[in-house]
Amino acid sequence: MSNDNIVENRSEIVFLYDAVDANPNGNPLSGANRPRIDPVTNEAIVTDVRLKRYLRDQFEADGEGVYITSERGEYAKEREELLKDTFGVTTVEEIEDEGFDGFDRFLDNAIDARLFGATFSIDTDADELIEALETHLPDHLTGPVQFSPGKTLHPVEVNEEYNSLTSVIGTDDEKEQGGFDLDDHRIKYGLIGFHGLVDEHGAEDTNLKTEDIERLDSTCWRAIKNQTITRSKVGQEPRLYVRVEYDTDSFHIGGLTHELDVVGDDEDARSYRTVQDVTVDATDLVSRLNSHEDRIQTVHVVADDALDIALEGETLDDGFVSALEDRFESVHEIDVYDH
Amino acid sequence: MQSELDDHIDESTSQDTEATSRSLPDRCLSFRLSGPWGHFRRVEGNTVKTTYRIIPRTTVAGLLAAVLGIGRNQYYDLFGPESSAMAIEPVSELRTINLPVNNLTTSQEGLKGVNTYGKVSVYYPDPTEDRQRTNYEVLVEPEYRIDLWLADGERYDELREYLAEGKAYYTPSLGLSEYLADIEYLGEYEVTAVAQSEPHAVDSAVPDPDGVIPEPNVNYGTERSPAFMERTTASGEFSGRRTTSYLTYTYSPDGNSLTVSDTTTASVDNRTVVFR
Repeated sequence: MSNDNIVENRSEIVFLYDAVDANPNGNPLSGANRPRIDPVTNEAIVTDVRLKRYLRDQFEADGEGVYITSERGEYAKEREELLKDTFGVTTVEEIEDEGFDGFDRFLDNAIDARLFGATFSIDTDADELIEALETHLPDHLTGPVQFSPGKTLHPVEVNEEYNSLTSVIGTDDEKEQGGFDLDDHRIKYGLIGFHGLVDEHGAEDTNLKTEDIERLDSTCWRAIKNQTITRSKVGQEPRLYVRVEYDTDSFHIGGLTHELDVVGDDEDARSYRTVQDVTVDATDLVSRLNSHEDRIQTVHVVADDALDIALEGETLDDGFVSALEDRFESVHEIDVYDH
Repeated sequence: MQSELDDHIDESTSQDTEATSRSLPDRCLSFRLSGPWGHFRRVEGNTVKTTYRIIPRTTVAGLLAAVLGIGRNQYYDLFGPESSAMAIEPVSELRTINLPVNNLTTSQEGLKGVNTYGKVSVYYPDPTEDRQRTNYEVLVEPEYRIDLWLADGERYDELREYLAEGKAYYTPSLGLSEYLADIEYLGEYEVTAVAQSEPHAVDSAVPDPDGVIPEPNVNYGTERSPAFMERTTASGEFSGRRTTSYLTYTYSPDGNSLTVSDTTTASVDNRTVVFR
């Protein structure tokens, strides 16, 4: 049953969101959790781990089973039971029994394990049990969906005004006085670009289903809307999500996010403050897609009206989605609230 | 574990000498390998995950196995010392930054056990535990040009087809699965030996530190990384595979050429490279 609808097509994802007066991803080893910034290019960096945390939190909020939860929730409990059922076997016969589907049920209950993979180890003194289990388990649980750590498409400026924030959060359980002069570092504006891939061959290992990818389409959008709720994370909005679904086996163009350029009203990119200050030049992206049109099945897309996108030097008045519809046979506009 | 590592290093010394006497291939596949990030963890590092600057030969082998769809632990013979030749040229400046990540710990104390008294127990990272801060040193926008020959003609042709069509069975990455890689096929080239009496410039990294003639105002880097692996059946730390020998590469961190003498060099596409 769980083998239905396993992902068969490779997809390549371009995902842009922006951050205004926020710390899109602090560096925990910098002391004051400063935004991660490439010291040479001044581009801000957001790790794949940060993005996946937003996504997992949104999946959990949607009632999906999540393996790596933020905290112990009801799903964590269920997962433990499933693992117990899965591996609570005592004989080789039990494992070799055709009805043994514990591992599939574990995956069924954890959308993040299906998308991003999972880590666990199995321990037994009996070698033959391990051997029998191995035939049921995939070789490894590398996630079929991978996001490269993201970067802003332009240099950013750090907002020094927040540095000596005073807070009334207790610094210790026993102290009644709040903390003072807490370091709080943010960037003024950053349009962050993520690049992702869905590996149709890796999909078999984790029972990744086409519905999971459709869910990912809307969850990327809603996660940035809904899960950026702590103080330093407020001020982030999704701006563009494109998933190019290929119909040629084992093929993807590669590096699509890096085809995007930002053209600002101001020559110095560090002076960008809001989404109104930037225009994304999608000329190279669209021409790359055009040159491989015969290998593309569908372009799934959702774009925020507030983000100006330009093609061949002209800002698109009718929006990016309709520009794609003019150029590609199959364009699917994602309804992010239908999930 | 350390003593086992030492054993491998000892073994490698003898194999290195053997490899230098091998003749050059007559042709090779040439491709550019790049990505926004790369991390090739140095085998001797532990708490801080430091990276090699030059993509290790074993990593290129694993990446190409992914392109061909060959599973883990099934491709080591294909890229063995006698059955393959590879030149690695750093094209970009090799720059690194620190990219710390909060991970769930997989050390024994941070794992939660299920069914721990049963026949089969399973351990998984406990999400309620504190995250472990892992400091990754990562390469920023690394780029290499690789020239490769394989003795296995069938696999060689298959790889050429995959590369030429821009295909990859599994999605390729630079060291870690999230550091997505781009592969650009440059073509198949004839390999011709370069007359080696005079010191001359070489574009690739040199897998033999003694062959490089140091020059003023030139930066050099040198590092010893895994080069060849074999499949093992033993369990424990080295279950599945084991490094059988290492290579010491000398390279220019700025992507410039180096001057060598007494080294078997070859000309590929009007460049001079050293195969190993």
